[in-house]
Amino acid sequence: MRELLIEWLLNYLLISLVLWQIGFILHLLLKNHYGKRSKEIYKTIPSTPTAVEVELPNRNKDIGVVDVNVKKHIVADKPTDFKIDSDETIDGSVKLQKDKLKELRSGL
Amino acid sequence: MSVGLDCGTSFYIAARAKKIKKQRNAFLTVEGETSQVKRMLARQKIPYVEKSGKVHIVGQHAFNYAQIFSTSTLRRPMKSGLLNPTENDALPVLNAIVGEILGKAKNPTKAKPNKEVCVYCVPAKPIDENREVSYHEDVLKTIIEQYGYDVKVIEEAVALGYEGLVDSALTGVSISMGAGMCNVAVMYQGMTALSFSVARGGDWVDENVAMDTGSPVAKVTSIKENSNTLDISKSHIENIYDEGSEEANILIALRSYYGALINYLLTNLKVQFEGVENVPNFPEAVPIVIGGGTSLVKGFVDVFNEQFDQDIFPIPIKEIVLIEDAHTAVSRGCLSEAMLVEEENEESDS
Repeated sequence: MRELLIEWLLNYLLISLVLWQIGFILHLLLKNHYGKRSKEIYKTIPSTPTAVEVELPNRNKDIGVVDVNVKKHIVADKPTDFKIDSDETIDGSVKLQKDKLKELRSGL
Repeated sequence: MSVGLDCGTSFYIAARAKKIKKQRNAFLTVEGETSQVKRMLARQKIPYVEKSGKVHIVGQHAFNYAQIFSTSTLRRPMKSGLLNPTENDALPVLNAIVGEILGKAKNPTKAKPNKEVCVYCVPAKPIDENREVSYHEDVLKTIIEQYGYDVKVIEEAVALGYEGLVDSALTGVSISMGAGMCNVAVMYQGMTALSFSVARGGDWVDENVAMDTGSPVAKVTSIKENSNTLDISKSHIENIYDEGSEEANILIALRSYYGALINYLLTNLKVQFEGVENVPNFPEAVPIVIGGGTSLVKGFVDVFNEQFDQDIFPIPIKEIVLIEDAHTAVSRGCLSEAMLVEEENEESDS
Protein backbone atom coordinates (compact mmCIF):
# COMPACT_ATOMS: atom_id res chain seq x y z
CA MET A 1 0.00 0.00 0.00
CA ARG A 2 2.73 2.39 0.89
CA GLU A 3 4.68 1.55 -2.23
CA LEU A 4 1.60 2.16 -4.34
CA LEU A 5 1.08 5.58 -2.79
CA ILE A 6 4.71 6.54 -3.44
CA GLU A 7 4.42 5.43 -7.08
CA TRP A 8 1.26 7.58 -7.62
CA LEU A 9 2.96 10.54 -6.08
CA LEU A 10 6.01 10.11 -8.31
CA ASN A 11 3.78 9.78 -11.37
CA TYR A 12 1.89 12.90 -10.38
CA LEU A 13 5.09 14.90 -9.98
CA LEU A 14 6.43 13.60 -13.26
CA ILE A 15 3.26 14.45 -15.21
CA SER A 16 3.08 17.92 -13.60
CA LEU A 17 6.71 18.59 -14.53
CA VAL A 18 6.09 17.57 -18.14
CA LEU A 19 3.01 19.80 -18.35
CA TRP A 20 4.88 22.77 -16.91
CA GLN A 21 7.70 22.21 -19.40
CA ILE A 22 5.25 22.10 -22.31
CA GLY A 23 3.62 25.30 -21.08
CA PHE A 24 6.96 27.07 -20.66
CA ILE A 25 8.14 26.03 -24.13
CA LEU A 26 4.91 27.26 -25.71
CA HIS A 27 5.31 30.57 -23.92
CA LEU A 28 8.85 30.99 -25.24
CA LEU A 29 7.82 30.07 -28.77
CA LEU A 30 4.92 32.57 -28.80
CA LYS A 31 7.05 35.29 -27.32
CA ASN A 32 9.76 34.87 -29.93
CA HIS A 33 7.28 34.73 -32.76
CA TYR A 34 5.16 37.84 -31.99
CA GLY A 35 7.61 39.84 -29.91
CA LYS A 36 6.60 42.68 -27.55
CA ARG A 37 4.23 45.20 -29.01
CA SER A 38 3.65 48.61 -27.59
CA LYS A 39 0.08 49.65 -26.99
CA GLU A 40 -1.24 51.31 -30.05
CA ILE A 41 -3.37 54.44 -29.50
CA TYR A 42 -5.91 54.95 -32.17
CA LYS A 43 -6.66 58.60 -32.52
CA THR A 44 -9.87 59.69 -34.09
CA ILE A 45 -9.06 62.46 -36.44
CA PRO A 46 -12.04 64.71 -36.64
CA SER A 47 -13.13 65.44 -40.08
CA THR A 48 -13.47 69.16 -40.80
CA PRO A 49 -17.01 69.94 -41.93
CA THR A 50 -17.15 71.96 -45.01
CA ALA A 51 -20.01 74.27 -45.78
CA VAL A 52 -22.27 73.27 -48.55
CA GLU A 53 -23.51 76.08 -50.64
CA VAL A 54 -27.19 76.02 -51.27
CA GLU A 55 -29.38 78.42 -53.10
CA LEU A 56 -31.16 80.77 -50.74
CA PRO A 57 -34.54 82.25 -51.46
CA ASN A 58 -34.43 85.92 -52.43
CA ARG A 59 -35.21 88.24 -49.57
CA ASN A 60 -34.86 91.89 -48.63
CA LYS A 61 -31.83 92.59 -46.51
CA ASP A 62 -33.45 95.16 -44.25
CA ILE A 63 -36.55 93.76 -42.71
CA GLY A 64 -38.16 96.41 -40.58
CA VAL A 65 -40.80 96.18 -37.89
CA VAL A 66 -44.25 95.37 -39.14
CA ASP A 67 -46.89 97.55 -37.63
CA VAL A 68 -50.34 96.12 -37.19
CA ASN A 69 -53.75 97.57 -36.65
CA VAL A 70 -55.19 96.71 -33.28
CA LYS A 71 -58.89 96.58 -32.67
CA LYS A 72 -59.16 98.72 -29.61
CA HIS A 73 -61.99 98.29 -27.21
CA ILE A 74 -61.91 101.27 -24.93
CA VAL A 75 -64.62 101.75 -22.39
CA ALA A 76 -65.08 105.35 -21.35
CA ASP A 77 -66.75 105.18 -17.96
CA LYS A 78 -70.03 107.11 -17.96
CA PRO A 79 -71.34 108.99 -14.96
CA THR A 80 -74.51 107.75 -13.25
CA ASP A 81 -75.90 111.28 -13.17
CA PHE A 82 -74.55 114.76 -13.78
CA LYS A 83 -75.72 118.32 -13.78
CA ILE A 84 -73.15 120.76 -15.14
CA ASP A 85 -73.32 124.27 -16.48
CA SER A 86 -70.22 125.58 -18.22
CA ASP A 87 -68.01 127.79 -16.07
CA GLU A 88 -67.90 130.42 -18.79
CA THR A 89 -69.79 130.94 -22.04
CA ILE A 90 -68.76 133.57 -24.55
CA ASP A 91 -71.51 134.34 -27.04
CA GLY A 92 -70.94 136.03 -30.38
CA SER A 93 -69.14 135.34 -33.64
CA VAL A 94 -65.83 133.63 -33.06
CA LYS A 95 -62.93 135.15 -34.96
CA LEU A 96 -61.32 132.47 -37.08
CA GLN A 97 -58.58 132.21 -39.70
CA LYS A 98 -60.48 129.51 -41.57
CA ASP A 99 -60.74 131.34 -44.89
CA LYS A 100 -57.03 132.20 -44.98
CA LEU A 101 -56.24 128.61 -44.02
CA LYS A 102 -58.42 127.35 -46.87
CA GLU A 103 -56.70 129.71 -49.33
CA LEU A 104 -53.27 128.58 -48.19
CA ARG A 105 -54.20 124.93 -48.53
CA SER A 106 -55.57 125.35 -52.00
CA GLY A 107 -52.47 127.33 -52.99
CA LEU A 108 -49.88 125.02 -51.47
CA MET B 1 -72.24 123.01 -37.04
CA SER B 2 -68.66 121.93 -36.51
CA VAL B 3 -66.93 122.23 -33.18
CA GLY B 4 -63.31 122.48 -32.02
CA LEU B 5 -62.34 121.09 -28.66
CA ASP B 6 -59.20 121.94 -26.71
CA CYS B 7 -58.72 119.16 -24.14
CA GLY B 8 -56.39 120.88 -21.72
CA THR B 9 -55.07 119.82 -18.34
CA SER B 10 -56.67 122.82 -16.68
CA PHE B 11 -59.55 123.76 -18.99
CA TYR B 12 -61.71 122.10 -21.61
CA ILE B 13 -62.69 124.69 -24.20
CA ALA B 14 -65.22 124.09 -26.97
CA ALA B 15 -65.43 126.60 -29.83
CA ARG B 16 -68.34 126.85 -32.24
CA ALA B 17 -68.94 129.51 -34.90
CA LYS B 18 -70.95 131.65 -32.48
CA LYS B 19 -70.11 130.40 -29.03
CA ILE B 20 -67.17 129.40 -26.87
CA LYS B 21 -67.64 127.33 -23.71
CA LYS B 22 -65.03 126.85 -21.03
CA GLN B 23 -65.01 124.35 -18.19
CA ARG B 24 -62.31 124.06 -15.56
CA ASN B 25 -61.03 120.52 -15.55
CA ALA B 26 -61.05 119.76 -11.83
CA PHE B 27 -63.30 118.17 -9.24
CA LEU B 28 -63.74 117.63 -5.54
CA THR B 29 -65.47 114.69 -3.86
CA VAL B 30 -68.21 115.48 -1.35
CA GLU B 31 -68.77 113.15 1.59
CA GLY B 32 -72.33 112.25 2.63
CA GLU B 33 -75.44 110.43 1.59
CA THR B 34 -75.70 110.61 -2.20
CA SER B 35 -79.27 111.82 -2.72
CA GLN B 36 -79.02 114.33 0.08
CA VAL B 37 -75.75 115.77 -1.25
CA LYS B 38 -77.18 115.99 -4.77
CA ARG B 39 -80.28 117.83 -3.54
CA MET B 40 -78.12 120.27 -1.60
CA LEU B 41 -75.85 120.94 -4.59
CA ALA B 42 -78.78 121.31 -7.01
CA ARG B 43 -80.41 123.87 -4.67
CA GLN B 44 -77.22 125.93 -4.69
CA LYS B 45 -76.77 125.45 -8.45
CA ILE B 46 -73.39 123.79 -7.99
CA PRO B 47 -72.43 121.45 -10.87
CA TYR B 48 -71.86 117.85 -9.87
CA VAL B 49 -71.16 114.40 -11.24
CA GLU B 50 -72.33 111.21 -9.57
CA LYS B 51 -70.63 107.87 -10.11
CA SER B 52 -70.77 104.69 -8.04
CA GLY B 53 -72.35 106.37 -5.03
CA LYS B 54 -69.81 109.20 -4.95
CA VAL B 55 -70.70 112.81 -5.71
CA HIS B 56 -68.08 115.16 -7.16
CA ILE B 57 -68.31 118.94 -7.44
CA VAL B 58 -66.96 119.89 -10.86
CA GLY B 59 -65.25 122.88 -12.43
CA GLN B 60 -64.69 126.37 -11.05
CA HIS B 61 -66.78 125.64 -7.94
CA ALA B 62 -64.44 122.77 -7.03
CA PHE B 63 -61.49 125.07 -7.56
CA ASN B 64 -63.03 127.76 -5.32
CA TYR B 65 -63.86 125.24 -2.58
CA ALA B 66 -60.29 123.94 -2.60
CA GLN B 67 -59.01 127.46 -1.91
CA ILE B 68 -61.45 128.10 0.92
CA PHE B 69 -61.12 124.68 2.59
CA SER B 70 -57.43 123.96 2.41
CA THR B 71 -57.99 120.46 3.84
CA SER B 72 -59.99 119.39 0.78
CA THR B 73 -57.91 118.10 -2.11
CA LEU B 74 -58.62 119.34 -5.60
CA ARG B 75 -58.62 116.35 -7.93
CA ARG B 76 -57.52 116.55 -11.55
CA PRO B 77 -58.76 114.22 -14.33
CA MET B 78 -55.63 115.09 -16.31
CA LYS B 79 -52.01 115.56 -15.37
CA SER B 80 -49.10 116.75 -17.49
CA GLY B 81 -51.30 117.04 -20.56
CA LEU B 82 -52.55 113.46 -20.47
CA LEU B 83 -55.10 111.40 -18.54
CA ASN B 84 -54.15 111.28 -14.88
CA PRO B 85 -53.04 107.68 -14.22
CA THR B 86 -53.55 108.02 -10.46
CA GLU B 87 -57.12 109.32 -10.69
CA ASN B 88 -59.72 106.53 -10.70
CA ASP B 89 -62.73 108.81 -11.04
CA ALA B 90 -61.32 110.80 -13.96
CA LEU B 91 -63.27 109.25 -16.85
CA PRO B 92 -66.86 109.82 -15.63
CA VAL B 93 -65.96 113.42 -14.80
CA LEU B 94 -64.35 113.98 -18.21
CA ASN B 95 -67.35 112.33 -19.85
CA ALA B 96 -69.70 114.75 -18.12
CA ILE B 97 -67.54 117.80 -18.93
CA VAL B 98 -67.34 116.85 -22.61
CA GLY B 99 -71.09 116.19 -22.64
CA GLU B 100 -71.83 119.63 -21.23
CA ILE B 101 -69.55 121.74 -23.39
CA LEU B 102 -70.14 119.86 -26.65
CA GLY B 103 -73.75 118.76 -26.24
CA LYS B 104 -75.17 116.00 -28.40
CA ALA B 105 -74.48 116.27 -32.13
CA LYS B 106 -77.43 117.02 -34.35
CA ASN B 107 -78.79 114.01 -36.17
CA PRO B 108 -77.94 113.92 -39.90
CA THR B 109 -80.78 115.04 -42.14
CA LYS B 110 -81.46 114.75 -45.87
CA ALA B 111 -80.11 118.27 -46.38
CA LYS B 112 -77.08 117.54 -44.20
CA PRO B 113 -76.43 113.83 -44.40
CA ASN B 114 -73.06 113.94 -42.67
CA LYS B 115 -72.44 113.89 -38.96
CA GLU B 116 -71.27 117.03 -37.22
CA VAL B 117 -67.48 117.15 -37.16
CA CYS B 118 -65.58 117.59 -33.92
CA VAL B 119 -61.83 118.19 -34.11
CA TYR B 120 -60.04 117.79 -30.79
CA CYS B 121 -56.38 118.18 -29.98
CA VAL B 122 -53.79 115.98 -28.31
CA PRO B 123 -50.27 116.80 -27.22
CA ALA B 124 -47.21 115.69 -29.16
CA LYS B 125 -45.16 112.92 -27.53
CA PRO B 126 -43.34 114.34 -24.52
CA ILE B 127 -39.54 114.31 -24.64
CA ASP B 128 -39.06 114.42 -20.88
CA GLU B 129 -41.58 111.77 -19.79
CA ASN B 130 -41.83 108.14 -20.75
CA ARG B 131 -45.47 108.22 -21.80
CA GLU B 132 -47.35 107.58 -25.00
CA VAL B 133 -50.21 109.75 -26.22
CA SER B 134 -52.24 107.05 -27.98
CA TYR B 135 -54.30 105.85 -24.99
CA HIS B 136 -55.23 109.41 -24.06
CA GLU B 137 -56.17 110.04 -27.69
CA ASP B 138 -58.31 106.89 -27.92
CA VAL B 139 -60.19 107.56 -24.68
CA LEU B 140 -61.07 111.10 -25.70
CA LYS B 141 -62.15 109.92 -29.14
CA THR B 142 -64.40 107.29 -27.56
CA ILE B 143 -65.98 109.85 -25.22
CA ILE B 144 -66.64 112.39 -28.00
CA GLU B 145 -68.05 109.72 -30.32
CA GLN B 146 -70.57 108.82 -27.62
CA TYR B 147 -72.16 112.22 -28.24
CA GLY B 148 -72.65 111.47 -31.93
CA TYR B 149 -69.77 113.36 -33.59
CA ASP B 150 -67.53 112.50 -36.51
CA VAL B 151 -64.26 112.84 -34.63
CA LYS B 152 -60.87 113.98 -35.97
CA VAL B 153 -57.69 114.73 -34.08
CA ILE B 154 -54.81 117.19 -34.55
CA GLU B 155 -51.77 118.12 -32.52
CA GLU B 156 -52.21 120.99 -30.10
CA ALA B 157 -49.36 123.15 -31.41
CA VAL B 158 -50.49 122.59 -35.01
CA ALA B 159 -53.99 123.78 -34.06
CA LEU B 160 -52.39 126.91 -32.63
CA GLY B 161 -50.39 127.31 -35.84
CA TYR B 162 -53.64 127.24 -37.86
CA GLU B 163 -54.69 130.38 -35.98
CA GLY B 164 -51.38 132.13 -35.52
CA LEU B 165 -49.21 131.29 -38.53
CA VAL B 166 -51.64 131.89 -41.41
CA ASP B 167 -50.13 135.30 -42.15
CA SER B 168 -46.70 133.74 -42.64
CA ALA B 169 -47.99 130.98 -44.97
CA LEU B 170 -48.11 128.46 -42.10
CA THR B 171 -44.36 128.79 -41.64
CA GLY B 172 -42.85 129.42 -38.24
CA VAL B 173 -42.83 128.12 -34.68
CA SER B 174 -46.01 127.73 -32.66
CA ILE B 175 -45.84 127.17 -28.92
CA SER B 176 -48.90 126.29 -26.88
CA MET B 177 -48.18 126.87 -23.21
CA GLY B 178 -50.75 124.95 -21.20
CA ALA B 179 -51.09 124.00 -17.58
CA GLY B 180 -49.70 120.48 -17.88
CA MET B 181 -47.44 120.78 -20.90
CA CYS B 182 -45.85 123.06 -23.42
CA ASN B 183 -46.37 121.92 -27.00
CA VAL B 184 -44.13 123.02 -29.82
CA ALA B 185 -44.46 122.70 -33.59
CA VAL B 186 -42.00 123.95 -36.16
CA MET B 187 -44.01 124.35 -39.36
CA TYR B 188 -42.92 124.94 -42.92
CA GLN B 189 -45.59 125.76 -45.51
CA GLY B 190 -48.23 123.88 -43.57
CA MET B 191 -46.10 120.80 -42.96
CA THR B 192 -44.93 119.94 -39.47
CA ALA B 193 -41.13 119.67 -39.59
CA LEU B 194 -40.77 119.03 -35.87
CA SER B 195 -43.21 118.67 -32.98
CA PHE B 196 -42.74 117.68 -29.38
CA SER B 197 -43.95 118.51 -25.92
CA VAL B 198 -42.35 118.99 -22.53
CA ALA B 199 -44.22 117.90 -19.41
CA ARG B 200 -43.81 121.28 -17.76
CA GLY B 201 -46.29 124.10 -17.85
CA GLY B 202 -48.33 126.31 -15.56
CA ASP B 203 -48.81 123.51 -13.01
CA TRP B 204 -45.07 123.04 -12.77
CA VAL B 205 -44.70 126.76 -12.03
CA ASP B 206 -47.50 126.70 -9.43
CA GLU B 207 -46.20 123.58 -7.66
CA ASN B 208 -42.68 124.96 -7.38
CA VAL B 209 -43.90 128.35 -6.17
CA ALA B 210 -46.13 126.60 -3.60
CA MET B 211 -43.20 124.54 -2.33
CA ASP B 212 -40.92 127.56 -2.07
CA THR B 213 -43.42 129.88 -0.40
CA GLY B 214 -45.31 127.35 1.74
CA SER B 215 -48.66 128.37 0.22
CA PRO B 216 -51.28 125.91 -1.09
CA VAL B 217 -51.08 125.25 -4.83
CA ALA B 218 -54.70 126.37 -5.34
CA LYS B 219 -53.89 129.74 -3.77
CA VAL B 220 -50.83 130.19 -5.98
CA THR B 221 -52.90 129.38 -9.06
CA SER B 222 -55.60 131.81 -8.00
CA ILE B 223 -53.10 134.66 -7.44
CA LYS B 224 -51.45 133.90 -10.78
CA GLU B 225 -54.76 134.04 -12.61
CA ASN B 226 -56.42 136.91 -10.79
CA SER B 227 -53.78 139.22 -9.33
CA ASN B 228 -53.92 142.79 -10.62
CA THR B 229 -50.39 143.55 -9.43
CA LEU B 230 -48.63 140.63 -11.07
CA ASP B 231 -46.28 141.56 -13.89
CA ILE B 232 -43.59 138.96 -14.39
CA SER B 233 -41.45 141.33 -16.45
CA LYS B 234 -40.69 143.53 -13.41
CA SER B 235 -37.24 142.82 -12.05
CA HIS B 236 -36.40 142.19 -8.40
CA ILE B 237 -34.78 145.60 -8.11
CA GLU B 238 -37.91 147.33 -9.29
CA ASN B 239 -40.06 145.31 -6.94
CA ILE B 240 -43.38 147.03 -6.72
CA TYR B 241 -44.94 144.65 -4.24
CA ASP B 242 -45.11 144.91 -0.48
CA GLU B 243 -42.08 142.96 0.52
CA GLY B 244 -42.59 140.20 3.05
CA SER B 245 -46.31 139.64 2.44
CA GLU B 246 -47.43 136.20 1.30
CA GLU B 247 -48.68 137.56 -2.01
CA ALA B 248 -45.42 139.39 -2.67
CA ASN B 249 -43.43 136.21 -2.04
CA ILE B 250 -45.68 134.29 -4.42
CA LEU B 251 -45.37 136.94 -7.12
CA ILE B 252 -41.58 137.03 -6.87
CA ALA B 253 -41.39 133.23 -7.06
CA LEU B 254 -43.76 133.23 -10.04
CA ARG B 255 -41.46 135.55 -11.97
CA SER B 256 -38.52 133.32 -11.23
CA TYR B 257 -40.20 130.08 -12.29
CA TYR B 258 -41.70 131.59 -15.44
CA GLY B 259 -38.17 132.50 -16.53
CA ALA B 260 -36.98 128.96 -15.76
CA LEU B 261 -39.87 127.42 -17.71
CA ILE B 262 -39.27 129.54 -20.82
CA ASN B 263 -35.53 128.86 -20.66
CA TYR B 264 -36.20 125.10 -20.39
CA LEU B 265 -38.54 125.25 -23.36
CA LEU B 266 -36.22 127.25 -25.61
CA THR B 267 -33.18 125.13 -24.71
CA ASN B 268 -35.06 121.95 -25.57
CA LEU B 269 -36.41 123.44 -28.78
CA LYS B 270 -32.86 124.22 -29.87
CA VAL B 271 -31.59 120.74 -28.96
CA GLN B 272 -34.52 119.01 -30.68
CA PHE B 273 -34.16 121.11 -33.82
CA GLU B 274 -30.44 120.41 -34.06
CA GLY B 275 -30.98 116.68 -33.44
CA VAL B 276 -33.55 116.10 -36.16
CA GLU B 277 -32.56 115.14 -39.67
CA ASN B 278 -34.10 116.76 -42.74
CA VAL B 279 -35.25 119.90 -41.01
CA PRO B 280 -36.02 122.64 -43.49
CA ASN B 281 -33.79 125.65 -43.94
CA PHE B 282 -35.54 128.86 -43.20
CA PRO B 283 -34.08 131.41 -45.63
CA GLU B 284 -36.20 134.17 -44.16
CA ALA B 285 -36.92 135.00 -40.56
CA VAL B 286 -40.14 133.44 -39.25
CA PRO B 287 -42.40 134.30 -36.32
CA ILE B 288 -42.79 132.48 -33.03
CA VAL B 289 -46.44 132.49 -32.05
CA ILE B 290 -47.41 131.72 -28.47
CA GLY B 291 -50.79 130.74 -27.02
CA GLY B 292 -52.34 128.84 -24.14
CA GLY B 293 -53.45 129.77 -20.64
CA THR B 294 -49.95 129.87 -19.14
CA SER B 295 -49.01 132.70 -21.51
CA LEU B 296 -51.83 134.95 -20.29
CA VAL B 297 -49.91 136.37 -17.36
CA LYS B 298 -48.90 140.02 -17.74
CA GLY B 299 -45.33 140.53 -18.93
CA PHE B 300 -45.04 137.05 -20.41
CA VAL B 301 -43.75 138.12 -23.83
CA ASP B 302 -41.16 140.42 -22.21
CA VAL B 303 -39.79 137.51 -20.18
CA PHE B 304 -39.84 135.32 -23.28
CA ASN B 305 -37.82 137.95 -25.15
CA GLU B 306 -35.36 138.18 -22.24
CA GLN B 307 -34.77 134.42 -22.35
CA PHE B 308 -34.60 134.23 -26.15
CA ASP B 309 -31.14 134.53 -27.67
CA GLN B 310 -31.06 134.73 -31.49
CA ASP B 311 -27.31 134.06 -31.53
CA ILE B 312 -27.77 130.49 -30.33
CA PHE B 313 -31.27 129.81 -31.68
CA PRO B 314 -31.14 127.65 -34.84
CA ILE B 315 -33.95 129.43 -36.73
CA PRO B 316 -33.96 133.11 -37.71
CA ILE B 317 -36.83 134.71 -35.83
CA LYS B 318 -38.44 137.96 -36.90
CA GLU B 319 -40.89 138.41 -34.03
CA ILE B 320 -42.33 136.77 -30.93
CA VAL B 321 -46.09 137.22 -30.84
CA LEU B 322 -48.71 136.41 -28.25
CA ILE B 323 -51.76 135.33 -30.23
CA GLU B 324 -55.03 137.18 -29.81
CA ASP B 325 -57.21 135.60 -27.10
CA ALA B 326 -54.45 133.14 -26.24
CA HIS B 327 -56.65 131.00 -23.99
CA THR B 328 -59.09 129.98 -26.74
CA ALA B 329 -56.63 129.97 -29.67
CA VAL B 330 -56.13 126.19 -29.75
CA SER B 331 -59.87 125.51 -29.72
CA ARG B 332 -60.34 128.06 -32.53
CA GLY B 333 -57.64 126.31 -34.56
CA CYS B 334 -59.48 123.04 -34.03
CA LEU B 335 -62.73 124.70 -35.10
CA SER B 336 -61.19 126.02 -38.35
CA GLU B 337 -59.98 122.52 -39.13
CA ALA B 338 -63.39 121.02 -38.27
CA MET B 339 -65.15 123.49 -40.59
CA LEU B 340 -62.79 122.66 -43.46
CA VAL B 341 -63.30 118.92 -42.91
CA GLU B 342 -67.05 119.44 -42.93
CA GLU B 343 -66.84 121.47 -46.17
CA GLU B 344 -64.72 118.74 -47.77
CA ASN B 345 -67.27 116.12 -46.70
CA GLU B 346 -70.09 118.15 -48.25
CA GLU B 347 -68.13 118.71 -51.47
CA SER B 348 -67.36 115.02 -51.82
CA ASP B 349 -71.06 114.16 -51.33
CA SER B 350 -72.31 116.59 -53.96
